[in-house]
Order: sequence, then C-alpha cells, then structure tokens
Amino acid sequence: MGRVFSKFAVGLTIIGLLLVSITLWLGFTYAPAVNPDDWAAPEAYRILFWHVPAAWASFLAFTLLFIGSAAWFLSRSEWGWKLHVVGAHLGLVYGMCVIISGPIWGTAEWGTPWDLTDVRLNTYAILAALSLFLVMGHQTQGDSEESRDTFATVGLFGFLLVPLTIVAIRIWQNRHPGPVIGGGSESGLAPDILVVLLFGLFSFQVLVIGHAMLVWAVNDTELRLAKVQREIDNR
Amino acid sequence: MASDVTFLAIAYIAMIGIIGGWTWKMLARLNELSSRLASAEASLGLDELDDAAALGLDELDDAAALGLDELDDAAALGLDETDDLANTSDSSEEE
Repeated sequence: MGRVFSKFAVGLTIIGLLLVSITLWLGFTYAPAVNPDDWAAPEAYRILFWHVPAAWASFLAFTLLFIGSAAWFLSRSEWGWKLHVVGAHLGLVYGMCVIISGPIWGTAEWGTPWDLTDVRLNTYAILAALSLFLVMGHQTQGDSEESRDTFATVGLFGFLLVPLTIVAIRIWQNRHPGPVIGGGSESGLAPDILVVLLFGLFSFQVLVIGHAMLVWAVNDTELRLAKVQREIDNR
Repeated sequence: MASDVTFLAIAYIAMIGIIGGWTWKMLARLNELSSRLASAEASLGLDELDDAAALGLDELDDAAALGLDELDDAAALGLDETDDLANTSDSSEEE
C-alpha cells in the first residue's frame, strides 16, 4: 500500500483513459453508420459507445457502495467505509455521464430529453441523485459513527434500485431502448457496432477500477496525514 | 433544431469534461496530499523512527497499520539506542 498503491492507481487510471479514448476513436471510425431510415438521428447513435459503458461502470460503483455500506454495518470495518466513499464518488461521476448524455441523445432521437413515464429513466435518476446526496453529505457532515450509519443506510437501500433499473426495461419498457446485450433476438446490434461497444465496456471497467483505486489512495493518504499531524501535535 | 452531430458533440464534450475534470481533480488532490504527508513525515524526523524512511513506504504503511504507537515505540527504541551509545562513549571516556 502507500505510494506504490498510489502509483498503481494513477497508472491504471491513465490506461483506462487511454482505452476509453480508443473506444471513442473506434466509435467514430470503425463503427459503421446506421440506416438513416430507422433512426431519427443516425449520427447521434454514437453516443452509445460511452453512454452504455458509463452506465455499466456506474452499476459497478453502486455495487462497491453496497458492499462497503454492508461491511460498515456488519463489522464497523474501516475498509468498508472507504469502499462506501469510493462507491458514492464513482456512482456520482459515472451517473452524471449517463444522466447528461442520455437526455442529449433523447432530444436528438426522440425529440424530448426525458420521459417521466419511463421507469428506467426515473429509477436511474434517483440512483444518481442518491450518490450526489452521499457525496455532498460526506463533505458537509462531520465524520462520526452516527453519520456513517446514516449514509450507509442510504447506500444499502439505494442499491435496491440497481436490479430494479436493470430489469425495468424488460418489464416496463416504454421509451428507453431494450437491452443491447442479452435482450433477445430483436435487440441485437450489428457485429462491428457490438465489437466497439464491448471494447468500450471493457475500457470503462478498467477506468472505473483505476478511479476506485485513485479515490481509495486519496482517502488513505488523508488518513495517514491526519495521523502524522496528530503525532506532531502531541509532541 | 440542431443537427444530430451537434448533439453528439455536446454529449461527448460533457462526458469528457466530467471524467477528465474529476480525474484531474483527484490527481491534483493526491499530489497535494502526498507532498503534505512527505513534509509532515520529514518534520517528524521519521528517519529516526525505526529508520522508516530508509526502509521505504511499505514499512511505513505497516507502521501506519500498526498505529502510531508502534512508531512511538520505535522512537523510544531509537532514543534508547542513542542513550546506549552515549553511555558507551561516557564509559569510554571514563576508561
């Protein structure tokens, strides 16, 4: 741990950034154009190559949030709390990517940025709002066992929205497209598009792991600094 | 209405801004904290504490994991050794 861990986190983050940049480049060069007769905004479909992987990355972040919150509740473990903080930060970052790019794509393709009757859009918006609440709460509330309990509760119950969001388009599909992977014969993508999307999914998973390690390293360094400062004050 | 390429550009600029900006912020924060930690450790004189600086950061982390009391113990050990050396030199002078 320590400086070696920090360097590894920075390295993995840079590799992740490189991979997502390659995904973007492939999305514009390798992925073919779609049939303009089938799409209202045939070029805007390329938002897919970051929008969907960012959503998957956010689900990984919310999973970390859930594991961390549960670990804090069950064993009062410090690593559990750190994982909770990591999950909240990353849930917000990737959630914002999805929440911002989705309505832009929606405006181009559907003519409206949001559909309040679409369950998936609403549950995902609540998830993103929840991570915003947690990050702001961590910054404004004092760090105590009571505040950690409160935030961990929000993290635990908020995670219920993840499976609900994932299955929402299978049960209550309205305006949002169905799942592009594992969604049945009607939801398949052209092979070249699928290849770029899968590369994007891999790239964003690398990036989110690098980011998770980066937040962990920052949190860890803060704690070490606080300990050393306490030691200095005691002398 | 704007063309779909405009929407595409706006969406990607927004996402690049969010991911790039946040990554930059985290890297800057990590750099700042690392510098402050290095300064604080230097002012503590960690080289006296169990030769922590010479041992490298893994050992520092181990010490941190054990808690600063262990560092204090190490400091105490270091001082004892110094005292021992002083005693040795005193006894040499006496001889």
